[in-house]
Amino acid sequence: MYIPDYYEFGCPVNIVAGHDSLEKTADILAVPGSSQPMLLTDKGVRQAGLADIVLDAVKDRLDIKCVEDGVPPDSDLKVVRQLAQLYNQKGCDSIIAVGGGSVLDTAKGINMLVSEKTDDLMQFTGAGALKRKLRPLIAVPTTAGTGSEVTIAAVIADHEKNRKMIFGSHFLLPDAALIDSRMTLTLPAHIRAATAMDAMAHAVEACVMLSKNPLSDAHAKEAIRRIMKHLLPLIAEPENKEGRLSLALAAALAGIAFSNSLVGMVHALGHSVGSVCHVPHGNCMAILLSYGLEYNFHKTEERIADILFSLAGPEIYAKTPKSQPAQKSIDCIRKLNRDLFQATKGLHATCLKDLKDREQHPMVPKEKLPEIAQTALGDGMVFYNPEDVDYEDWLMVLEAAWEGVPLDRTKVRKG
Amino acid sequence: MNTDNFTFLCRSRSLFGKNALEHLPFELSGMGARKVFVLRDNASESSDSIRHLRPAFADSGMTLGLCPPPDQNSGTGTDILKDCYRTFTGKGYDSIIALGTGPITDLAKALNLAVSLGPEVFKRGIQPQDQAKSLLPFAYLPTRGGSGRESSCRACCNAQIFELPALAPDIVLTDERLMAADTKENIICSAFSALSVCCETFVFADNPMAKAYASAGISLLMEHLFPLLETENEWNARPAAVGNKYRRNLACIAHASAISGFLLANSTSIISFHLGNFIAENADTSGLTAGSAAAIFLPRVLEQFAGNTPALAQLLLPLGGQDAFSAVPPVQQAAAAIHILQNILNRFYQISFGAVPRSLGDAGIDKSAVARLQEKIQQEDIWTETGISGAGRDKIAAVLLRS
Repeated sequence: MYIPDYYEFGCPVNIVAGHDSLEKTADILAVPGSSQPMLLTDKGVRQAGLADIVLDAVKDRLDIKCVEDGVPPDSDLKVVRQLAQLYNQKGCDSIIAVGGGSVLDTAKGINMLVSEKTDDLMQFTGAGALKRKLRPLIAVPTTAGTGSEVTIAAVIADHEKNRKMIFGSHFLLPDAALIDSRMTLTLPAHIRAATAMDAMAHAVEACVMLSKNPLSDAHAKEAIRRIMKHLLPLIAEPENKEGRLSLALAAALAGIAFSNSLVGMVHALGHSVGSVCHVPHGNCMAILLSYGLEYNFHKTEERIADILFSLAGPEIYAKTPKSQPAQKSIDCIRKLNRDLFQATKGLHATCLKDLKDREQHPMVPKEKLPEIAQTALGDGMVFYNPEDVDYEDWLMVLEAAWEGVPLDRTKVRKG
Repeated sequence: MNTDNFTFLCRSRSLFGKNALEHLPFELSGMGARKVFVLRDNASESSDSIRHLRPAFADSGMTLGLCPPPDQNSGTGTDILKDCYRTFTGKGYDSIIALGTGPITDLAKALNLAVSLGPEVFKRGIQPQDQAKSLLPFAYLPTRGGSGRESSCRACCNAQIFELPALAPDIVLTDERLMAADTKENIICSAFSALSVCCETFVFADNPMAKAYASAGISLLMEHLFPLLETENEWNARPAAVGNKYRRNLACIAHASAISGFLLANSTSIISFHLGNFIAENADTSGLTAGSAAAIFLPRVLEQFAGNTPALAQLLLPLGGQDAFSAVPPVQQAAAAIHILQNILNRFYQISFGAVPRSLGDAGIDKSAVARLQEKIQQEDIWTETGISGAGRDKIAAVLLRS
């Protein structure tokens, strides 16, 4: 067990999980005396009927003041301001956020504005900017991936500056996370795969990065084990509600883990691929995770080896020679991506060049790689990466990930 | 997996390790604290913890008010609480640190109730409307292992029990510099209590968040208890002080104990823990602590209630580690987990020259006493709060006999 000289750990979110946990919504909001929430979601979630399940679960018990589905996939400061105005106009006293990362992050942004009675979100960047509890916020995740329901962070784009703004405060944590298996029933297979790989990246990086600790490890390893057990079977059989609940819990476990141990270059690079080429975050994580492990291999081999048990199970762990478990861990992640590629009939890409948009155009043209590398230099997550990374390093990793070939570890500089 | 809903809430933030204390002013000021009332017990005096506390706040702009350790002979618990209340409100404090374990944390929680909800709370009790109210910022800084209840959401004040999620500490800070020298009996009591809570939670809670905390708690105990107690062969010179050299191990045990408190706040039915406390209070023997009794019951409770289930087999993972788990065939893992727990007792019996009992018999509780205790379990309504049914009580009576 690795115990750092100093560490912090906490997640004061009330986690309510099950196959009908949404029915607890009114009771949870009643504790702080709220009964007039805004229900915030996006159009996809609403069209899938998920908002209706929530509305049905709270009918006759809550006075939903407005149902707003205008959150775009890549929410920004302007959207947050508009929705905060709506919240005030309608006389809401709390938020129920139903959706993936963008909806939950937007809800956190709205909550900052309406609780602090301002329209300037930028004053809450930086540590310690928020000083008091915000209004009640309930998170209902629908993607089993981001872990936003249990994280202190909110990522909100500033499209004018082509940057993603990261807000972080314990006061951004939702009061409760309602994890309900019904919420992920209709998730398309390739999105289920990508979002679960987002959770996998959270868990794996939490186990490998500099701020890992016994409590984050315990949460992360349980998350990895659950993803490995349930993800592929769920692609084939999404009706399995036990599997869906377990995967949603894995996302929350991974979210708790990485909020307390932080993440590194995989996320730094993923943010940059996302912001330059508008690739969904989960797809970036799925492709880049194994490359991040390879790049940091010489500094974290023991830690990468330690996750093999959770990735592959006790039998493979026991049969793997002592010199090979770290490489075996990386191989497991690559194999999972290949299996997902097969299971999703090619919709789950395994390298950057294979990422396609809805019109089947490549999302990451090779000529964009230098711009992505340049953007990654400014990402704060790289600060927590075990090995230093500069522009040339980023480019080398991106080129390998673009081609889908393993990183040549002999070319990684060892600082 | 169970299809019922489950909930998990751990309000406390854990800060652990070297120089953790220096992070406390930032954490407290982030919660709006400016003037901190410090309650401490005698153990905190012996560890010289104030010497570390003062400099940690030196440049913080915050004011520390140091209350001397309560003199239990100078009045009742109510008198002490009233004194603290007058000082706290009279001087405008806005937050609380409890430096120590056991009664001092109960006093801190009671004070927080009084200053946050008003002193009438002790007459009217906790009401539903109190559930939403915030209490003042409260940090718990252990100086010993503790019972685990310090970090739970429960307070005992003059035989009254108060339970409220907000009673759990906002911060549990474990800094090895604060660890006081302790007797081996106390260390074992804390560690065994925590082990019982963590192991039972790991096996019985169908709740991955609780399992994750439990797993970390078990691993901390397995790695740090034996080095602490095996390296000095001084058991006969009781009470043997375990001093500076082993403060890191002590801090890890205090950390695991705090984790067990988080788990206690999420479960009422930790059988071995409650049974251990029941025996310590009711058995006619002075040498059996609640923790030691819980550790005696733990393997029998797991056998009786979990049998040869996958959940019990999985317990081998935090107890033995990944290598040991992988080496043992699945059909043998449950038995191997029980074997490890029993071996802990056997080993400590040996290194303590019989002071740590392996069974109720070792503790001087004979079969007739066991029969009386079994009767008491069946007759009294003491298990209501644990949610254990009549059939469960029969099983507990069987556990008692086998122990």
